[in-house]
Amino acid sequence: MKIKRQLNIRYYLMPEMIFALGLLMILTACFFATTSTIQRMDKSFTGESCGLMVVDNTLERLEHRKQYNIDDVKRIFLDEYDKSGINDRTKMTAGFTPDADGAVLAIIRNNGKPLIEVRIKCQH
Amino acid sequence: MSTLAKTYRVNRYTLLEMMAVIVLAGVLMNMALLFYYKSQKINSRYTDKAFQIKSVSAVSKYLRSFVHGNGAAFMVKPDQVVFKNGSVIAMNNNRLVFTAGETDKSFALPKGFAVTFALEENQGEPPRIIMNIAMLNSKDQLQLNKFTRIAACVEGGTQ
Repeated sequence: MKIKRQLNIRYYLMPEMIFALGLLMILTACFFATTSTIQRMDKSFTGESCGLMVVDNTLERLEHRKQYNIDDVKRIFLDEYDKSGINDRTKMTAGFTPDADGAVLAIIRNNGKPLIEVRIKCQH
Repeated sequence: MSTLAKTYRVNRYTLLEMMAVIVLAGVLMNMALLFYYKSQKINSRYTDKAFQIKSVSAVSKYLRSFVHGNGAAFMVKPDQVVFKNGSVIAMNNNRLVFTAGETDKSFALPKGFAVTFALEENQGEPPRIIMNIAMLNSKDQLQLNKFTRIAACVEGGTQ
């Protein structure tokens, strides 16, 4: 009888098994959700790094011109944006806004906020 | 019956239970291995990414000052740039080597990355040397959709 009782103690109930399996599934789902978030962050960081280089390369090209007007600034900025390949990798866009003294170059994140903004003085 | 025999009997499992336990242990071990592999892969990629961002930042400044200081380029190939004054920028065993006269300066690139050079010219603009730091795939081929572009304008044009 004693042996039988001890054996009975080792059994698991069906709800316990379901709970254990559910917990395992939740843990697995959490792991893959975290992995997916990290991958999205990775893409975003790569895009940000490229976005900064777009503006940096634009400034390098403008610096080596004797003179430039607003059309040159726009053409060079958009050319750098296209060639950086950022458009294929992220949803970041190039923003070019003319203002009174020149223009504002910006790389806009997909939430509409600018990643970087640079104001350039130039002739219209 | 001795105490040992009793204990042995208590711990006895049926064949079906044993098989279920073996399968479950196998599944758990596989999942643990998968988690470990994925975590290691992400960790390694982030280390490379951090190294790449740091390299891009350091290399871009040095490349521009080197290109501006050496004047016109004589020849631009995908793996090297030769200037008219004899200075060279080239890839050598995952190292980017800047040679000016007797002095060499090299930058170690992150593992799995390579550099390519190109010359771009537009009307009304000085020519520029483009350096792309790109990732290599498992077959050591450049992944052309994963690169960082650095532009350095040449002062004095090309031959």
